[in-house]
Amino acid sequence: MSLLIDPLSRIHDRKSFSCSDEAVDLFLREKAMQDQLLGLGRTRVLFYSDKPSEIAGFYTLVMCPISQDSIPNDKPKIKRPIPAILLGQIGVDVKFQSKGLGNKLLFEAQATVFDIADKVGVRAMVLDARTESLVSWYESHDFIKLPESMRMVKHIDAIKKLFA
Amino acid sequence: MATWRSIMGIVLEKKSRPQSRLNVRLSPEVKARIARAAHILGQDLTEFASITLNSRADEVIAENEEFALSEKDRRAFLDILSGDFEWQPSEKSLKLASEYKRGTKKGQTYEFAD
Repeated sequence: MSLLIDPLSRIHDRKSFSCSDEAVDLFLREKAMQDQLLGLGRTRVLFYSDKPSEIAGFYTLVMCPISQDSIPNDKPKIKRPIPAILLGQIGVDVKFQSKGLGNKLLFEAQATVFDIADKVGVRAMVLDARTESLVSWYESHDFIKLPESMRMVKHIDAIKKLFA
Repeated sequence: MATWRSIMGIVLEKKSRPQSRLNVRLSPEVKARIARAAHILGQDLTEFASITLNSRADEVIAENEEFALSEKDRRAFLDILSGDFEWQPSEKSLKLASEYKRGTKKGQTYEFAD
């Protein structure tokens, strides 16, 4: 029995997934497939080979250019939005929690970002931590929290270093 | 966001005599109402219009950007991106990296080694 990650498809049972965060479950159930089909985001799903329809965990990546001109009187102005990839969602089903699967998922997400950055140019991976304890978890993966929000950032060079 | 900075921005701009004009046609009723509101705040019409429009513009921009940042966060963000760091992966990251390298990738599928 092996542990695999694949793009989300119809064979995966989205309805049974529960990670104890209602909003994350709802996203997977209602939006993930639609976003996938519309090209708005990409979801990858973690599962065991003996039961490929059962989702053990998933994450979603979205392009997220960060605009630099929304603040007045800023000098020097950076004229273009900064290309970043947002980890929009990540979750592990309660049945599979405390096995380190979240670590594996987050790491594979960074591998995906590394691949994308190699082809299109990406400056950073960003995310919104949903709880304080998740902030510490992301920090253990070398993400840096911004001072006034739960937003976190990892420079693409820090990601590249992991796959060199 | 009606931020302190956006309001200060207007004040600073006013001192340096801004050059751009904004002409708006309004019904007399609307104009009178706006003048009354400006008066309540002790502002003239130009101040009231520019401060109000600017802060509303900030709000609209923030609502439409997925990753809108406050001034302080944006500076921190740019510092992180400036790349003057020697990135040192945590022990955990290094361990996950060596584990990841033992796995295999076929097309879109990644298989963990253990």
